[in-house]
Amino acid sequence: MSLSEGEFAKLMKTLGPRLVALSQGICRDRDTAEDIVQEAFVKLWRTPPDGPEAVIPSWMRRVVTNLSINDLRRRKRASSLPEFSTDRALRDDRRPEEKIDLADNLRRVDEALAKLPDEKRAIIVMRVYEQMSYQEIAEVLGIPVGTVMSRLNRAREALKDLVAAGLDRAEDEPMVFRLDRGMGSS
Amino acid sequence: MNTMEQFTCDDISAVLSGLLDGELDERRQHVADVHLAKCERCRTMVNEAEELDAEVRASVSAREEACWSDELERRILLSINDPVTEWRSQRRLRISAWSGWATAIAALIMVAFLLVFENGGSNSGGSAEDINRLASSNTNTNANSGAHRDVQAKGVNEGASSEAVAANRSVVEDEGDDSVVSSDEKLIDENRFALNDDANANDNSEEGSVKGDADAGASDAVTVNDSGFTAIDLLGDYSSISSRLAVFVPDERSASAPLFEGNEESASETDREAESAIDSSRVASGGMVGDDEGGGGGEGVEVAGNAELNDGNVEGASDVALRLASVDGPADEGDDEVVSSEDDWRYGTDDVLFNAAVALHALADANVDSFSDVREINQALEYDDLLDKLAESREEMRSEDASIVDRAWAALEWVSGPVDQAQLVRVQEMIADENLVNRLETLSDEYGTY
Repeated sequence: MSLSEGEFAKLMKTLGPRLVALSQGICRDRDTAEDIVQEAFVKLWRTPPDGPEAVIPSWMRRVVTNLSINDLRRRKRASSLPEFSTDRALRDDRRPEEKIDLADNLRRVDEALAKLPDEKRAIIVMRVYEQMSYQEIAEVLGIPVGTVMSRLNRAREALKDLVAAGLDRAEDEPMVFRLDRGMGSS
Repeated sequence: MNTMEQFTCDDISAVLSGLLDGELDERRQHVADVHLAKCERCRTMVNEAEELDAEVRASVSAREEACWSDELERRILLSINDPVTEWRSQRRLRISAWSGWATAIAALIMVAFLLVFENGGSNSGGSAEDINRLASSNTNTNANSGAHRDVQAKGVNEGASSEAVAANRSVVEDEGDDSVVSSDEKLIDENRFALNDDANANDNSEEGSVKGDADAGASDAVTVNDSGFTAIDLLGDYSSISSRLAVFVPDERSASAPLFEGNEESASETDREAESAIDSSRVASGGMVGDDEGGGGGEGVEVAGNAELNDGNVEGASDVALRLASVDGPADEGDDEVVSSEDDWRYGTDDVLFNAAVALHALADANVDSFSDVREINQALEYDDLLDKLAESREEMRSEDASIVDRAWAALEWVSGPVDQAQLVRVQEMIADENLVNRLETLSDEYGTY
């Protein structure tokens, strides 16, 4: 399969944002995610996959996931907290208090994701966000298919605990903090 | 865990991810649904897990818009047009092929000029008949040459320029029409036309040939990949897989000691070992599925336990597959630097402990009136090499943790030999009294590099 520049540009626009989000979800680092997606698109241009154009999205997803996992394996570094924007979460018609609740929830989940060990976070992002099949995940991680379910179980359990711990902390926070924050931002 | 007909709440927890992700087989999905219909606690647990999944999706999706920028798009476009890229070098290849033909054409045209002028010089008052004869002979030569090249081009590439064929045909037609040729200049123009088209045809064929080679290479790569996926999906064609292994990953053989234990240098030995491993896993998974489908209440190993044991059972065959995947599949998909030696993402101590916990769980609930459950567990232990792996794992543990592993090992080892009903009951009591399953699961989490 060969791509024209027009087709390539179109693919970049349609697939790019999601791929960067996927990679950043795994790596927790925006610059790295951008580099990885750039590398994946260069690979697509030079050596596109065989078959019809319809295979490109899943092929790109696998390339980006592989590169992200490899990056994690190489770096083995502590993940930094995410640069999280609630803009999108707040851009809807919910009532203000609902928006705040939603944003708080997302922030807590995001913080919990950031605190998860790399491998647990990666497998959750692959499955929950990217909806990769157990077979695909097994191939990417190099583990038996059956082990995917037990690992996902443990990863979800750990995430739930971290979110719950975050909730506990939030409930322990004195109300004055919330008020101060609200006043400060106004 | 319970038998196939009924799930407990613990079973639901064990298969929660499979439930959420729709990855349970039909039978287990049905049994889980039956339990969920009557258990509010489990329904709540599943609902909460689904909500958490939705929040994870929302959290990651929130980055989609924020992450993409014109700057990144520009960087990508710049990088694909980098002059150092392979793409450019391919283009250069095409240009150089074309320039070769252009040189040849120029040389032929010069020869044609020389011939014409030589004739004209030797017989300045030459008749029109002479000129026509000369034109005829030149045209003939070039037309033949063009036709020959065209056939070659077509031989290499069916898609070679049809215009070239038409051009050559027109030259041949001109050949018989003496009256058309009125001057040397026209003759030379015609020759140039024919030769240019030849060059186009050959240039195209050159591209076709290069492309064809590239395609052939690509199809080779696909063959390798197909083998890899065949191994994963169907566990078939293992002899070719193992010979590929012997070719591609000689070092991996020494790393995969349990699978290729006793293996010397010969590839055929590797074949036999791989065949044996894959056969084993086939027996393991096929046997258990068969038992389940037989529907004998006492015959089936418990559902969730069965699944987990199967996970372990296919380890041997998966080992083959994942080695292939690490060499072939991922390499084709951007995984140029496969990090495997210190790879703690793979089957590690935590996985061994977790699988041992699952085996103990199954043993604790094994039917004491029929030993079919114990036989299944034994098969799983054997295929997974679990006892040896447990023994290896304990070496790297703290002594207080190692004692738990020792107890688990003892329980599993006990039933690996002949065991009577009373002994089986005692083993089950020991597992329960010492809370071995939970302690192993906890250890699995503690030692998890994952």
